[in-house]
Amino acid sequence: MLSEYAISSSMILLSYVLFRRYNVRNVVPYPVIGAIYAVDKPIFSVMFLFCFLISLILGEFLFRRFLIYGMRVFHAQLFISITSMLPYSLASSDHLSLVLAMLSGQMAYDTHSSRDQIKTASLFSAVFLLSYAIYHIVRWLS
Amino acid sequence: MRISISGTRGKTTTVRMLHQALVRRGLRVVSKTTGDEALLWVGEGVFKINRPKSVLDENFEVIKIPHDIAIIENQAITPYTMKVFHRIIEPEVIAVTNVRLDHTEFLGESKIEIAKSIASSFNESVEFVINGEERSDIEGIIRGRAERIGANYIRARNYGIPCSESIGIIEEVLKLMNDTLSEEERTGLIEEIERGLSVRKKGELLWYDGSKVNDPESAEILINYFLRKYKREFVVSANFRKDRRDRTSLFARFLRDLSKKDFIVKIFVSGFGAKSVARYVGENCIYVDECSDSAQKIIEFSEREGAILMLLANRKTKLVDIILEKLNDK
Repeated sequence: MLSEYAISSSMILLSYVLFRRYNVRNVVPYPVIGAIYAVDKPIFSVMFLFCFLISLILGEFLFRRFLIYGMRVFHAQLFISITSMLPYSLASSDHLSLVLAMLSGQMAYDTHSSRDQIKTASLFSAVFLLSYAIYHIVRWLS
Repeated sequence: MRISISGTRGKTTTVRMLHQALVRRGLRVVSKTTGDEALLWVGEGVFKINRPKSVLDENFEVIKIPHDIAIIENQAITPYTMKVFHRIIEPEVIAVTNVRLDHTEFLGESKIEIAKSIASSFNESVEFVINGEERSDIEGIIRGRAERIGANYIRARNYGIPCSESIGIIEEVLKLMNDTLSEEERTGLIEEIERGLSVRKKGELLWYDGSKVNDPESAEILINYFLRKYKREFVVSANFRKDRRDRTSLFARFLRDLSKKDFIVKIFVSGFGAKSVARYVGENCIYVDECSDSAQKIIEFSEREGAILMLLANRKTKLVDIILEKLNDK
């Protein structure tokens, strides 16, 4: 439990520093939850980022091609994300992975609606990978 | 031609003045303002837009109305809504009136961040960016973004009175159309702004409804302007809303500094979070309930002190409604 607390706390601290220094907002909770769940499931970690990417690309396509925006894009991105995760969830009988895919969709919407999309997408991915790596190391050490 | 009027303060004034100037030149002009009292101008006609709240979709309909020039206000609430707005209307010209601390929760907690949020909404369809903001570091952000998207950057003139950047923007739009603002028109616009910046009188009381002045910097500019113009002390009534906590927080800091000035007689605060604001500001600040007795007390106190009663912070509050009703009552 302490390792989860330590990772969450350090990521919150990192998030606050990023906010104060670079006005980066809300990049912590979703990727950290995803990363902690993914620690014993390497394929899920890949799928989590894959769903984020697909959801982001298709959301941007909906916006740029059809000018669909706001909550319509948001719900579309959530749906795209869980649908992208569905084959993995079925194959591995991992029910929770399907639910957690909504977080990838939420990350995709936050990226879509952010001021600087490349920066936000990179930070989401970086926070996910960093949490994943730190959690691995902490578990290995303990 | 489509023109987006962006920025923090003075957008509606700019839309209205620019619309009138272009209609006078015989052009088919369609304009729209936003906010709670959104208006649609089609040539000489003005129509109130009735809807529960501001929606971006209505801009699709506005640009369908036949026009030579469409002037549409871009409500500066989030970087995303500003960006979507520009995607919808695809303006050739974006005019930024100024950059002030408002909607900080979403746009950023400093003027630099707010300027970045506004600039990030400029898209590739833009050919000209006209800027009315004077601060050089903010100008750098707006100019930098304009250059990155290949737009021409134009600095609008300011005539030294609050809100006069609107006139500078009108001049620059007319120049783009190979036209100029006549001396008579310019004088008329300056006089119109000055009329809007004049205190009103009820009996012996002088008062000004600055309740739509929603950011501390604009409030400070206005108070300094009145101080020079009328050389009187002020009683401030600042009223807060539950849904605008960012504004309450910004005004609390501003009012604390303001309360130490010798030209401030008293500050009355009301609404959500006002008790905390009163404690934070200090002894020169009094919390009042949002009721008729409080309104009467504030009015009578201001009259007795011979000070200008200045309403600030938020328009849509119960106490402002009551005070305005009493002050407008003939």
